[in-house]
Amino acid sequence: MTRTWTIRAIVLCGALLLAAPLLVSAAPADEAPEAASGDMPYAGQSIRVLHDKRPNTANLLDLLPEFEAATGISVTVDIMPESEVFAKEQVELSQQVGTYDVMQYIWLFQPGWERAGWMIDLNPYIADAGKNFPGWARSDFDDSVLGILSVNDKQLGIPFISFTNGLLYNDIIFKKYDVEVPTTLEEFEAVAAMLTREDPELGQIYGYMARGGRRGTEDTNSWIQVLNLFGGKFFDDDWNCALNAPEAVASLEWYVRMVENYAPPGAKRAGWTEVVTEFTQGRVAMIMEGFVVWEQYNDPEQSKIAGHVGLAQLPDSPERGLAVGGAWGLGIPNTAKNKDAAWQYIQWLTSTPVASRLFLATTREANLAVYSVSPNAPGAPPMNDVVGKIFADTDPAGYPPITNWNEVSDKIGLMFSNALSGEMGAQQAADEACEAIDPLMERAGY
Amino acid sequence: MPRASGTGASATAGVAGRRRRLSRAWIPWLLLAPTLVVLVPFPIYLLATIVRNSLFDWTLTMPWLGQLFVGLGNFRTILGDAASLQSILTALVFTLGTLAAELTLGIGVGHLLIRETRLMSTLRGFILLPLVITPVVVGLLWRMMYQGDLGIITYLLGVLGFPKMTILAHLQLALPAVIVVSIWQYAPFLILVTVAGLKALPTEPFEAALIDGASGWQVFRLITIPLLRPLLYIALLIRFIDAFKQFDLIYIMTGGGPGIRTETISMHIFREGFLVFHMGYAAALTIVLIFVVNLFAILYFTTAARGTRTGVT
Repeated sequence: MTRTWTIRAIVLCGALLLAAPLLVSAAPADEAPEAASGDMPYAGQSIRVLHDKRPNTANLLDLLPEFEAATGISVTVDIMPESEVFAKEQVELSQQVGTYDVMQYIWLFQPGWERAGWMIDLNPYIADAGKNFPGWARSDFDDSVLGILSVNDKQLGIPFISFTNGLLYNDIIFKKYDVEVPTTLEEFEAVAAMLTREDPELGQIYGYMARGGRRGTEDTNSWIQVLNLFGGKFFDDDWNCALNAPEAVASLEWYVRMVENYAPPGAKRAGWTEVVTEFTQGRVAMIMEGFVVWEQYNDPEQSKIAGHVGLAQLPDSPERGLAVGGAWGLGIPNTAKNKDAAWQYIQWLTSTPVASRLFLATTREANLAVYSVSPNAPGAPPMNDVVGKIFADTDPAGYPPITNWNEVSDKIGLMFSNALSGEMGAQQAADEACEAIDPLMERAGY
Repeated sequence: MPRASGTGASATAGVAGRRRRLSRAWIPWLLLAPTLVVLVPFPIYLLATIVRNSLFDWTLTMPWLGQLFVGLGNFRTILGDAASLQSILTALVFTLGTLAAELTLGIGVGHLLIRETRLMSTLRGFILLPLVITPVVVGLLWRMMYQGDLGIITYLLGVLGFPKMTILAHLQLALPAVIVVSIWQYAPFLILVTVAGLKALPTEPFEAALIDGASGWQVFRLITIPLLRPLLYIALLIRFIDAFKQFDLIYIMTGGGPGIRTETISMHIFREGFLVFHMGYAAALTIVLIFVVNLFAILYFTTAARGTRTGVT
């Protein structure tokens, strides 16, 4: 009898174990929204947001309770490093999972996303005054920046961070060695050579620092800026790979030479973080990078050169090539569960009052907050003048608007790594890259 | 009647007995059912999905291209793709380099640690530490140590007169540098197996050999190794499979670079599947990985069985 009951108990437990997932999935996924009041039409709704990890993201979490209190919307934020965000978002979207209501995304991938119909067009939301969040206005944004996040007249995202590249220099080193800010690439190389030396007080210093890792899009950005300054292009007018054209190869040769001779040894596997770290530690004289984290360069807690960072236009820009610009946007996937609540969050975060507090480059006014956190280096032109010039000479389409950027950027990453490591010469690396890229472009319909 | 009644009772008892036996026979299956339900269908489903995907040209991020049936086209592409073939070769070099060093260290250090002294007992505990650290953390730690400016290894090499360099970005040194880390992390496994094996060996053959005047080397070569061989075969097989599909350490330390110098087949599959999203091609590469591992296992077991029968050491 006892054994019979034991067996029955085991069978019952087994059945419950097997049925558990069914029981769980049968339960409601979200709690029923509370009754929405007139002031808070979205109260009780919950949204999930994916953000890239940046210095501002920690501060964002501090401000979130204000949004939740104002709207009654509950927000869950997932924060991931840049390289993981790329993969995560594309898997999420392609599988139509519906985990996220808002995604922070980089503009490079949006042509493909638009074609696949994975992100919703925000224009109807912008036009609907009834869904406006107090403090947010379309007219606060520069058309050019909004344009970066628009494909085929569909507004896929609202700018969260808009950026471009400038010449950032360590004014302590420049003053010490009485060096003028270079205005051409030849001068840039000469200054880098002169400042790569053993300094009696600073130790070994380097003239230049740039990215050199093997992570595709993230690590090739420094070189892509140089490609533009040399007048190089990714493709010709017929979408044939142009990376093996003389200007592009010359830019790669120049870059390899600079990293080899005037950059810290770690540059060959460095990404954005390593470049910023080396620069703010005061051992590097110049970088050609984004200055959207201007407050980080000038934060005494993070930077040994706070207050001594100089910003100037890139050498030979705009005469030979433009600065490469881009943007991170906040968009709503087509699978989002609470799209209206998601739109409220996007407006709140990109509005001038909130973005200014978080040093986010969203609206015109918030942009000023980003760049007025600290003045330009002593003796250099005022910050706003320089920023204005750089943005005016920025190519927002510095990267090609193609639907297959993933596979093309991987081949570019391999070319870059092959040349930088000395595996092969720049011309051979570029020829091999084009050989691989052309069939991919053809397959993608170009 | 009583007879008939007796027959009826006996028949009833027989049926009840059969039922009991039947229910007893089902109990193990019933108890195993939850495990089997979870464990059996998933690998079959996954393998079937991979095989199916490998027959299509399919890019996850370009759904408008659809899934084009290409038969064995992806496998033909692998045969002509230098990067894919190189990744298989790199995985083999990585695996064999790691295993050779681990086996040598395992047997050598295992012999030292078998002694029952307080020092050796403590060392046995310490030597396991690398094994319990996750590969991601190990990769990050070693990456810092190999770093060009501030890494301790680069510094020590500088003291010895070598130029400053980022070892993991060096064409010739990157792969050996990753192999060293893998050895550091996983050699303790073979050391542990060797110690356990040595402790379990019978003492008689060793005593007989000593009486016969065998030298230490002869004892080691002709008695210790043959007796340990079955255990080492299994340990090496486990490590071969682990090392051949090693991904995390390489992903963290080099990302497959410089160029494709450290891109093993697992790293290559990751790149094709989750960076470029060529799902069909990544599935075909996965089948190649499974095939190579299984081929090795079959060859290995065949050789091991022959070696055991002939007594070849």
